[in-house]
Amino acid sequence: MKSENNWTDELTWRCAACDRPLELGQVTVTYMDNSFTTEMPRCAQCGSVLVPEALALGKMAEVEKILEDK
Amino acid sequence: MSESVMTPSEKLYESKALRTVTGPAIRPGGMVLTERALAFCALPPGTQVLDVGCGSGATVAHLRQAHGLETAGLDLSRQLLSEGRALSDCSMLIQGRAEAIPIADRRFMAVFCECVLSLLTTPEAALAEWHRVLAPGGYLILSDLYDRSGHADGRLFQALARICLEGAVGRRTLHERMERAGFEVLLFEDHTPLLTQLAAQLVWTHGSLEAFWSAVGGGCGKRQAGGGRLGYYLMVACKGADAHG
Repeated sequence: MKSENNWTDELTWRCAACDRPLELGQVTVTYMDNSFTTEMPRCAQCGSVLVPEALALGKMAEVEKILEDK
Repeated sequence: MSESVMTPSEKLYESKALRTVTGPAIRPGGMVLTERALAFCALPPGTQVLDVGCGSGATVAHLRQAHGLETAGLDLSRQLLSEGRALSDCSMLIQGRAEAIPIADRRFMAVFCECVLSLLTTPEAALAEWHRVLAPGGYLILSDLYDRSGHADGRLFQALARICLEGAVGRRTLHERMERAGFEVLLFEDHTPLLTQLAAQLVWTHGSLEAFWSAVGGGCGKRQAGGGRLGYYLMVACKGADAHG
């Protein structure tokens, strides 16, 4: 799983809508009425968040399965 | 207690990996079910209360400060009790076993035991002991893991199966044990979503369940065989048949 302390690659991205570089910021992820807060790359202007594939397929997927009790 | 005789459950409760997620009330939902039970029992200020498995005393402090209850706490862990005593005047925090409470008979009007019973090796002895220290008509307030069986293994069960789950019995067994110990069950509610939220939060915080279990020493290393489906309940019972209502 990707280390969340290393966002070097993601922080080279720019927001397609605002054309601004992404910055690390506190993000609240909500799924099935459960909220989790973490630091992720986001656009400071519009708030769009970049979710890396490793995160989506890693702990995000595991958390979803637990909440769905699958 | 020395490190060499600590059980996996004690290691789990003392671990920062768990307490980082739960906060000082080391159980699913924190004070949510404590408050639910208090609303049901309507204990007046000044009532004598015991919290069995009090850890560092978060619930003891809450019951005293928010509800004016004369609360004492009992725990096996010297580490957690020491942490609690360092934070406040906690002369009411006592070291001891849930099955051998060093307090006189009929002392309390309520005994809280949250997320502890299923970890005890002799739950019947513990129930008898709590019955002993309760006054007639006193309340026993339990929240704990239980087996919602009859279904295939769910992800939640797999997630937490490394806690020693032999003690997570079904609802019928729970009720039978309560009756044998001399309690009348007044309330039983399923609160499994609180357990689910805790499991999900552990994964979110530690990255994976493997990382969490590694951080707390691997759990008990045994997985319960069979088709259990883990749940979490709140139960309120009373000593005697006519204490409520």
